[in-house]
Amino acid sequence: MIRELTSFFISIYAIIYIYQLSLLASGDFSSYDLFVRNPATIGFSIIALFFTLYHAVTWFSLMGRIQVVKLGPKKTATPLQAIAINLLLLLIIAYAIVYLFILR
Amino acid sequence: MTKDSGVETATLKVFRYRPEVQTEPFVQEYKVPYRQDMVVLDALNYIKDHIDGTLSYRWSCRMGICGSCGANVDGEPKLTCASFLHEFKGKEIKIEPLANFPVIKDLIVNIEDFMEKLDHIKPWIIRKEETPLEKGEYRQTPEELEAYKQFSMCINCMLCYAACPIYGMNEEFLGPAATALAYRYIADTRDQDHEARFPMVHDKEGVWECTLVGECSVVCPKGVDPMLAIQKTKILGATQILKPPRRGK
Amino acid sequence: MDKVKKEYKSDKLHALLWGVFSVGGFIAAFLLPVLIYIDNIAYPLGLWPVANSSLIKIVFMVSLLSTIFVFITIGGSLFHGIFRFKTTLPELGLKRASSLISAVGYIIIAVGLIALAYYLFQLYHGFDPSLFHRII
Ligand code: FES
Repeated sequence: MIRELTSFFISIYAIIYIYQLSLLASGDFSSYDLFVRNPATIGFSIIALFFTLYHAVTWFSLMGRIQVVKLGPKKTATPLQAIAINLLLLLIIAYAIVYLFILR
Repeated sequence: MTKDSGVETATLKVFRYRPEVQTEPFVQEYKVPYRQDMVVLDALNYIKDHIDGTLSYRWSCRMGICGSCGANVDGEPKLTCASFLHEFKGKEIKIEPLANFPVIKDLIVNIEDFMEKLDHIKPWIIRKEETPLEKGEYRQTPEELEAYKQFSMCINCMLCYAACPIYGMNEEFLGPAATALAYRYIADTRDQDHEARFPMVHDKEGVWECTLVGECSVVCPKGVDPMLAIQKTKILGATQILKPPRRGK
Repeated sequence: MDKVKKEYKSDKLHALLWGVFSVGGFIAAFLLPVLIYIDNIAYPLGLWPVANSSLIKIVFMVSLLSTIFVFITIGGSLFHGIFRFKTTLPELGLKRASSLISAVGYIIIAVGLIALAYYLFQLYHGFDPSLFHRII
């Protein structure tokens, strides 16, 4: 059931994001601003973020089983370690994006 | 388990279907003497020997190897020879034929569909050319063995089919065990024509039907992970379209 | 029950769709969280890292690279989300309607991707950054 829910929230967020872009593209910035600052939008986004992270963890655990992560010539990562490695990768990518598009 | 006149007994509610005498299936209750070390199959054998000789079910090895004794025990697909009565302590045990298969009689289901699928995936090592015996055996490294070993543990008991809701809705779906066995040979370095199995596993009703329910891997009594085999086979299919078409044939 | 012997054939289209779905799964896992956080949580609530940066950067509309980033992230997630949602619906007992659901799913994906590309193109080409400053 939770699988259906994660994909549902991811899809709806993507559609809302496209709607936000349409507001921006119309050139009327205040409508965009009003929309994203609406508590309902923020609340939904927080839930969507939560489900996206949930998706990430389940996705990593599945990928860890399909493609075994090697830690050394003889050592393979346990499923939990594989998830941890991927989560670390997620953090690095997130920071790289923040740095590339905002902080730089 | 209850005490009847000093002897501990277990109650089995067994699904009966006897098309030659009665068109409708019914449930029959049996009480068998209970012992700590008894499995469901022992109880069925006790019924057959001492209470009701008309009860039909399949079994052979009594040790989880032949794969013929599968049934839905309390709603879960299980090998009856590997399910102890004491796991169901204090309860009546419901014994039904494997779900998702047509019932022939009592606990016996029609397994034709699976047998056909098994045949189609070519469950043998395909060699382009057999090397002569004196050249010795085909050698594999431990890693090469590891790539397919768990999938070779399948005993064709079909519990995974009974657990798969997708197979329940569409019997054309190739299903867990057949895909796991196909992958077992695809991943075997001794096999020289993996692609011979691609039309079956990558068929419209092959691996693409799977929606990752994962119940097949939960119920497997031999620790095989058919869901994993299906995902690996999907990756093979998706990367296959990036490759140029194969020449000849 | 007379069964016609089944003809097996590799289904290239399903393989392709599944491939995109699976790449979309990676995108939704690795790229979507940070996009949600920046555009829809950090920006409206004034949190790090956008608290003190100029507004234009917030919505990623600065470069070709960021436009591509948004397209891949939202497009990939949309495909992944809808595809998975539509394939899990039959599990809930909606088998009968599954080909209809499938068609509706692909229509949503197609329309979504076209709209996404259209708005991003508009923003990348014709967006007037001074609009931001006039309002704040
Ligand atoms: S009797 Fe052989 S597996 Fe149970």
